[in-house]
Amino acid sequence: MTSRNTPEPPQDAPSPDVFNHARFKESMHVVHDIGGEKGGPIPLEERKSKPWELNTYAICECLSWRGVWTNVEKLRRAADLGDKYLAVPYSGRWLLAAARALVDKQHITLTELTNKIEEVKRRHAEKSPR
Amino acid sequence: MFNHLRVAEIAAGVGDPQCYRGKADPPKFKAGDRLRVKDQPDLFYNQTPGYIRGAIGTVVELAYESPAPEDEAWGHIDEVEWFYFMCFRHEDLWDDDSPDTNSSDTIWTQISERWLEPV
Repeated sequence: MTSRNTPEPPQDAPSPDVFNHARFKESMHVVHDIGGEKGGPIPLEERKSKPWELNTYAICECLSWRGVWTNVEKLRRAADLGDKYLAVPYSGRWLLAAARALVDKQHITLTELTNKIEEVKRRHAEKSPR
Repeated sequence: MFNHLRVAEIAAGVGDPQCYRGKADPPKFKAGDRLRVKDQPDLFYNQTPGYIRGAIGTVVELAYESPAPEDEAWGHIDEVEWFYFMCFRHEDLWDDDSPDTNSSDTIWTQISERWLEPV
């Protein structure tokens, strides 16, 4: 099925001389609005969620529980990931959205997050030497 | 306005959308109304799919009261409006169709009042 409103692929940034309302509308298309685009078959398979996926859901719910965001803000932040929205696994969207929300709202700094990732990597390497 | 304690209270189980019941102005539309979906530019975020923009559908029933996604997405939960179940005919939405679907097939979607206008 093809929608009459299926968007044109993005084009290079145009000169203001040729940038009209139609071009504006095309360039503002949101990444999560994919209804009617060509998709192909969807493989149906049973799979168990990985621990990081389950942890991600828990983090997202805790952020709602403690009033850091609403569920709709979570959806918006995932769409705000742009091309990363489609480039990471499903749960990855929510994990990136959660990290970004915590940084944006100054609950943590990006420096703290980066340092923590380094720390956990080191700890993990010590526990399970290759 | 966004208030983390209010949001937390809602998240604690009051339940969306029931927690907004009675907060919206009276509904502008009723079941059976023929309405067109406004075709507005996508300014950062909304939940109105492109394939129903500009299309005419029928109100099936009033759905619930809730902040619109455009507001709630940034934590604004004070402005509450009606959402409607809208029914569209496939042939009003899609240029072509796979052979095993029927042109009289319909699709339902939920949409907030601000996106709808009388035909």
